[in-house]
Amino acid sequence: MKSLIMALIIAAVIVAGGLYCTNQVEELMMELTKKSDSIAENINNDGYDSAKDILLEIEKSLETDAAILASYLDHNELDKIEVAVAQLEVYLERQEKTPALAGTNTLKRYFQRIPKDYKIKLENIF
Amino acid sequence: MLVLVVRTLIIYALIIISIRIMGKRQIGEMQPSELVVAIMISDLASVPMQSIDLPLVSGIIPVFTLIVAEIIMSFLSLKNRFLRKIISGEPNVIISNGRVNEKELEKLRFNLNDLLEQMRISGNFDVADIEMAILETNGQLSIVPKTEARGVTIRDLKIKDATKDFIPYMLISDGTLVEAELKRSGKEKKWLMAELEERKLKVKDVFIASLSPDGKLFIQEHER
Repeated sequence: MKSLIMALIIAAVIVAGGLYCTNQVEELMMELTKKSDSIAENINNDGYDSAKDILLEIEKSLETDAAILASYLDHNELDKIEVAVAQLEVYLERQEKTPALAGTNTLKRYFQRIPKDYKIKLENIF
Repeated sequence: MLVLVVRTLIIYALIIISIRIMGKRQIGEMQPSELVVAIMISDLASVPMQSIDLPLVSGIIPVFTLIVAEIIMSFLSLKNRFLRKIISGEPNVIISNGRVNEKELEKLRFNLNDLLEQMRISGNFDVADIEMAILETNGQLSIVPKTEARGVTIRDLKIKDATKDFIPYMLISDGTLVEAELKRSGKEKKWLMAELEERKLKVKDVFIASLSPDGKLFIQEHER
């Protein structure tokens, strides 16, 4: 009976923890997707400085939630995001419109894909 | 490199905890479902241990999920006979009334050599001496020998005052007094100290001190 209670507690922790992490990551990714859209908008309007500020915010958000992200996501995915941010930084610095837009789109796709990959859906299970 | 060491230690500790939660049955004789869990755990644990790209949680959660599932299944099978039959199977009688049940052996894909081997392992060498043999769900063979082939018991000899067998009380273990055992033996600490003093010993000098149920005290000193 003791082990059953323990098992039920572990199950509750796993489910609650899983839901919490999924929600946190989903919220963060939604916010970052919106920020990516703002970056693209600013690039289109030649507002490179504002775009850089928003990219800085994205970096800060990723740093703040680094622990949750690292415990939830494949570290390779985080590395890819980091590289994409670094590339975009340079494009914004040099005010190269097309590569900057491409970089922003890549980043946006990463942010959109992550919650999709971890959602409980048949295609993710099988 | 150190990350691998830390991750390995964490997983090692968690696997020990999980095996402890699953209970002692896991360590010894395993039911089919328990064997599956043990194999899966060993594989699941090794992946995040070696690959630092994967979050440690991705190894821990499946392990704990398996443990939870196994405990719940074993609890349900404890309460439900039908479920028990599905999860663990049922014992099969492969020798009954001294005759080997060929159909049952065939059904179990258990050949005669397997049967004889299991019999020999359990100390039974002649099939003619066996009244009944049951293949348990954990794969072990339980054997009931024929009356004329079984060992003589106290009941057969009709001895009324046979000595009862008890486990001796381990009063001192590796230089440490075991209070619980002393209490179980019904002796007082004063008595033990007097016995030690008589032998010019202190508790820390003693490697083993055990008291047999008939009151014989065995003392072995530390070698150093």
